[in-house]
Amino acid sequence: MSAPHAQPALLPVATGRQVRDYLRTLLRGRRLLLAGTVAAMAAQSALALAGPVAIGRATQAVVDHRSSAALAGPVALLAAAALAAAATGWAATVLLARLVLPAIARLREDAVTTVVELPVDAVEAGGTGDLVSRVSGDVELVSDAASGALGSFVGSALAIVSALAGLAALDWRFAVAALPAVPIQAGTLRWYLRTSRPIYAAGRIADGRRASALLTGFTALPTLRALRLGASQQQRIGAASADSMEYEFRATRAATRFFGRLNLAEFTGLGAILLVAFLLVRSGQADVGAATTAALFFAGLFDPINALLGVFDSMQQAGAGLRRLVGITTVRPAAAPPDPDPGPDPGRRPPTEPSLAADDVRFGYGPGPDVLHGVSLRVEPGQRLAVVGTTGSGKSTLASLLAGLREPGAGSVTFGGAALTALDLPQRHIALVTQETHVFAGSVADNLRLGRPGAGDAEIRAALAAVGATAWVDALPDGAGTAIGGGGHPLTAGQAQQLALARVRLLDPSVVILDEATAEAGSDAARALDHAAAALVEGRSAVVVAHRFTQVVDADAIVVLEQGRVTAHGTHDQLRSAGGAYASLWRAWSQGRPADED
Amino acid sequence: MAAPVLTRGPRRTPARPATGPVPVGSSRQLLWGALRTRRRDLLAASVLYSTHQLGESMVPVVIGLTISHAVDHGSRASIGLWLGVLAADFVLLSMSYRFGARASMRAKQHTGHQVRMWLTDRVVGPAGGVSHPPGDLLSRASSDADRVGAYAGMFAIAVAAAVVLTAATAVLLSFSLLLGAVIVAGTAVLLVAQNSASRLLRRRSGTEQHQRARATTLAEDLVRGLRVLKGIGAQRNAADAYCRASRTAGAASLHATSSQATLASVGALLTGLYLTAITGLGGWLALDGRLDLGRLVAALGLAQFVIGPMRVLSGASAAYARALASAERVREVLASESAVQDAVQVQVQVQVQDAAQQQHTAVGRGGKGAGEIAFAGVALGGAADRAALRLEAVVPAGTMTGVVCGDPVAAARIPHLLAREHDPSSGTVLLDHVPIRDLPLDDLRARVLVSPHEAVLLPGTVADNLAALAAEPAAVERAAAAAFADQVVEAVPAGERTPVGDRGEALSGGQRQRVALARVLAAAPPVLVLHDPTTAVDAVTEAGIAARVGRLRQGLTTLVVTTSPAWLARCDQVVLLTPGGCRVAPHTALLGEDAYRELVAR
Repeated sequence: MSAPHAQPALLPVATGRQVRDYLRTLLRGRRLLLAGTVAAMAAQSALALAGPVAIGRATQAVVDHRSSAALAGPVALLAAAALAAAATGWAATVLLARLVLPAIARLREDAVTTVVELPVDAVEAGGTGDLVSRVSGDVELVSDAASGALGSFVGSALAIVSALAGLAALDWRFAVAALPAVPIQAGTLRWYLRTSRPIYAAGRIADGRRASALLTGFTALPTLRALRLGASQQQRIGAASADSMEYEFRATRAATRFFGRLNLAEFTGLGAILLVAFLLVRSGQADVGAATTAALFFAGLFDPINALLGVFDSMQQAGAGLRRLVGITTVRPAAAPPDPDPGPDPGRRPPTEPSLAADDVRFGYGPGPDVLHGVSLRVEPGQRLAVVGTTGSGKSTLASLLAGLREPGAGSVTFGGAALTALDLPQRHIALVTQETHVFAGSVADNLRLGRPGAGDAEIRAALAAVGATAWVDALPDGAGTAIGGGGHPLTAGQAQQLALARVRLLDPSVVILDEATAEAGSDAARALDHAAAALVEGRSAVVVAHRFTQVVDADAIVVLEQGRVTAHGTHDQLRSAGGAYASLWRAWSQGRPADED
Repeated sequence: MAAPVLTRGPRRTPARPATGPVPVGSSRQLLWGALRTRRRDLLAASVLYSTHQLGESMVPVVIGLTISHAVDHGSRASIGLWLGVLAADFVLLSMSYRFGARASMRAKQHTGHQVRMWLTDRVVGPAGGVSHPPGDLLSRASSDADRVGAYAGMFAIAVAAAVVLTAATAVLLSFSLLLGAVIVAGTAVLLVAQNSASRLLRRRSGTEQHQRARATTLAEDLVRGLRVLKGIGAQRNAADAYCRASRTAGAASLHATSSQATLASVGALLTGLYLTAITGLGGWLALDGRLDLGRLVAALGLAQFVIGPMRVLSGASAAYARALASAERVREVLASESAVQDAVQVQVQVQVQDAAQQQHTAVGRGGKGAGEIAFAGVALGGAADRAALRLEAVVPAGTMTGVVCGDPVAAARIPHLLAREHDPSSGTVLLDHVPIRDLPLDDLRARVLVSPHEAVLLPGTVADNLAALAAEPAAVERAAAAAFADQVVEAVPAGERTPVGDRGEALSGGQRQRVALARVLAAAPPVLVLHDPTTAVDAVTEAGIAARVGRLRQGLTTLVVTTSPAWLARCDQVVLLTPGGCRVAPHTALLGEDAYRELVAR
């Protein structure tokens, strides 16, 4: 509940300067490789000139009615050039890959590493769909371009340069004749970049919306059927799909107009060269062979120009993707202060059992009004604190603050006297489990090891046993090695949550915060989950946010939260006899339930 | 309700609804059926691309002729004439490309869109039965649909390649039978050699793609489960796992790239040597007087040109195979068997005039006395231990009835059966004495509205969701008040204009449940079926909701499957379902029974 605007605020997109700076740091210290790559590519493109030269000479031999021995030179030149071009081409591709691929790998790793450090607010506001499309779709686009389009882009650019140089070497007047094409091409390119860049950027966003509409529909099938909303969802999907299609059409219209103007440039240049050739041959200043070579040089430009501009599409898309990826890295929290003294081994319980305390904590989502108005509480080592309150009283917000997932607007949350904001990964000590579950693609054991990567099989089994999951895990086709999540073996929400609890067990934190962790699993698993939660809480500090009083009555202490304020504090018996909100909550809960304790 | 505005941006082509039967017989049928919907675009693109390619192939020919007829000491008039011919050729090739490319893009995009619509129409359709996981469906609806579309985009290019290759061959043969034959045969040999080399190396690129796909899946998974990971500070462990996968993928990419480099170099070498040979042969023929200068230049140009179309044609079969594989993945979903049969179709086939008649007279919308649900020996589930659970009860019209069942799996079956997610293995559910199996699905679901326990909110604002099923603002307001959803509106930052996020993730569990409840209450259906509607709501609010819903639903039928005493206390009667049989009595009366007390005490 965070997005303050009607349209979800997407994560930032980097500016051109930010992208350039980023790329510069990526390529730092690799200048030699860069130079080698450029040299190989330049050599390869220069060798492409051998063809027209040889053909021109052969033509001249025909014009001059020479003997067939005159062909030996051009043919040998062609063969040698073919060999050399193959060798330099190979070197260029391999060097470029060595230069670029590791850099791209670092970029995507950087992006993902940054994403996991994003504050939860930023993730919620931007929407998971946007992030997913960045770390998968955009990464693919950029990687594809790096291993394909980039090479032909640079290669074509160099080929164009060398063809122009070749033209000039032949006779400077040919190069001058080719010049009228240049302003047309330059103008066209500028126009195209200006026109198509926003189209591609918007198109990528439209694709994201399409994926989002599809996924929403596919994850809500029973609801869509029961509420007869299938047709309207189908309409949304259709609209989103048509929308992303429209951007493709716009891009095509721009691209075809672009190629049309380039055709004009081609004709202008070619016509001028033929005209100059006519004049030069007529006045005896050039022979027919040179004229042929010149015309072929220029015609040989069409392909690299088209290739250059053909991959411009993917280069631009990759550019848009790159800006979105680098954009992620720009939201890196200004100064994440890693604990100067790393303290206890993360994931291991600190030697002393510190207490967790909130002191006059205030918090509001974005520009919205405060949800918590000065909450103070304290969880002593080994104590179990229950938080009750009506829905919307701020319990979940408090839970996420206590786990250090959100920062208080004012006041502080401390663990063993240190502010959570000063600790690195406080959640390793204060673990939060909410009702949200996610099964990660991998085996059951992989899912648990996210809690502690080095855990051995015996520890995995012990954690499963502790949450009462041994029976059903053993019944899976491959036991704890069974692939779950993604396309793997499907689990119920209750089973997924049991695994989440087992994961925490393996992590072995000092404090566990359970935010209605057992509430939303279908009632089938609720009982098993309650047992699992009880086992997890045993022997450590715990904060339990619950509305089922079975989890509340025997807590060491209970705080009552009303509209973001702690209005009462005490044990069950104290609070019940004090009247007030707790008593009425208790009455509502116990009404109709058989009296069990008195 | 005004449809929520979901898309902004360009004016869009209206999404065409899937018309006519969807071709699901085979992947081939599906592929060609999809292409057939864009016949006109494909035809236009084929013709225009062919013209474009012919125009392109004529450029070297015109250059050659210009050189021999004009540059080589021709007249001023001749250079003017040939430049005019060149200009005409450029206009032809440029315009035909422009409109051909647009037609081809239309074919490509609309074909992909059509396949996507076929697929999603089946998936979100009323009959159910598609059991693929969402991520899998997403990849079928995006990549596979697009790949079928991409084939439509390739189609015209392949046709044009065939046309222009034929024409170029004819021209070359007319120049010189020997040179023409050598060029055509040589190009073919060249491509066969390259293709077989590339097949050897394709396996490496397969490994690379697999590694990259794995890294991508990991990244996606990590983002989707990020909140869970952050809750226990495990996000860096997951990121480390991603980085390892990324590095493996990077190494595989490097490996694959050097293979590709080798392949490309060998290809370039072969092509270079082939062109060398052609130049030598052509030059020799010309020196021998068997080929004039213009034709020599033109022939050498064409020899280079025909490599392109031939490559297109040789790659076309692989593209077709890829498109077929994608079409098959779409077809699998389209051909999924329905979970239930829609009575509309059954009636047409079996002509159950009787039942239809009865249903239309007895069940007219809002008809008096409508809304009685009867369960006649309905078996709840297939597992052996549940076979004993048989629901035998009547929910009288206009009552609020609770159903308490000790077996949660069996309890969850009750709303599913009423929503016809599936049909019972034995027994019958009747609505106003008509088996619900004989009612058209749409009619049944309009009259018996089931809100699944795991009801999902749809993207849009809170207001959009509240009003998703009802048009009348007053009804929406009453429903929101009854479900205490008005408190949700007050609690969220932008009130009822707050976006709920994907699947309502911007709201808490309790808030989601209340909005979902208000959504169905607003529709005021004759029969409303709820399943544990307030598990994530606190006790006071829950009691309030149960009371208000009871009042709002006065005179209408409401069935609540739950073990919550807050709801059961408000029910006119409660059905207690045990392996021993069904008991129907008021909540207070059942409280005297140990079995019941134990179930509702939790």
